Amino acid sequence: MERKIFEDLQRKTLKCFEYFNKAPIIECFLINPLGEKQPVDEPLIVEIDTGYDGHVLISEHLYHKLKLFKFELPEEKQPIIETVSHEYIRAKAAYGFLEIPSLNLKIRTQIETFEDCQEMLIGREILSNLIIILHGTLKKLCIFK
Amino acid sequence: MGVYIRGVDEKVYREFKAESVRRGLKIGEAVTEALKIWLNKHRKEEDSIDIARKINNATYRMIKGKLLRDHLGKWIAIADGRLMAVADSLEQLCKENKEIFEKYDHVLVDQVTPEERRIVRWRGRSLKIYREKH
Repeated sequence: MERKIFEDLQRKTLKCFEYFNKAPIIECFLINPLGEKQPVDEPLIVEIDTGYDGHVLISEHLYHKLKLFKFELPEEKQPIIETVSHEYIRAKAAYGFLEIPSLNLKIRTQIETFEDCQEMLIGREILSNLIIILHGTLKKLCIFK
Repeated sequence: MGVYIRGVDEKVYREFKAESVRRGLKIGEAVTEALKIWLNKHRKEEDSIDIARKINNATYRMIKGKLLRDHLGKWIAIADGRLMAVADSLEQLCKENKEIFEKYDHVLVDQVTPEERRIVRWRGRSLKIYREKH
């Protein structure tokens, strides 16, 4: 039954990504506004985090590699990240694009990081542009038309 | 201290080793020197980005009122402490002013709106469950 529902859904599916390390992920590239892409060859595997209400959070290293400090928002508009333990972290944010090549989709977004950040995740601001189903039993994340 | 590093380019390493021998340095001494140079280079780059960031943000704060009056909804680029470009879209701003983004260490980019800073809540990843393997 469950499989049948999924097969029905699959007909309307644009793309499914298998969970990675038991977590829903999207394979994507990040592109700066001059068109420089990271990574160059294989896409990034980025976890979906519905607990993060920002756009895309990336490591500080990748932020520098993409030269995002050349497309940075004014400090007054850069977000402050409030963690679950009520810590407040001053973030840096820049304009860029998130590309999902398998969907031929490019979303203009803000890309965020903070000092010594090693995390990479896609937050709710990006998810609000997509129709997504998390199929827990099949361990797949599917993006719909 | 001894370290084993994977993924070093063989050709570069061979040249590096030959050069360190030519200069009468042990490989450890040469690597330490190279690491120090690399660290200094990147720290200097970061310092210059930070300085440029402060200058560009000070400029933004100074001209913010004028930007809201004259360029509401437009995209702007501030570099070297000056308003360098105004465009209708981010794509146009970058395409028509590529040299600005290539030349300067830091560029402040914004769509002129009265929008203020926001608090982004992060309630997910900090709650990770670690299970011991038995």
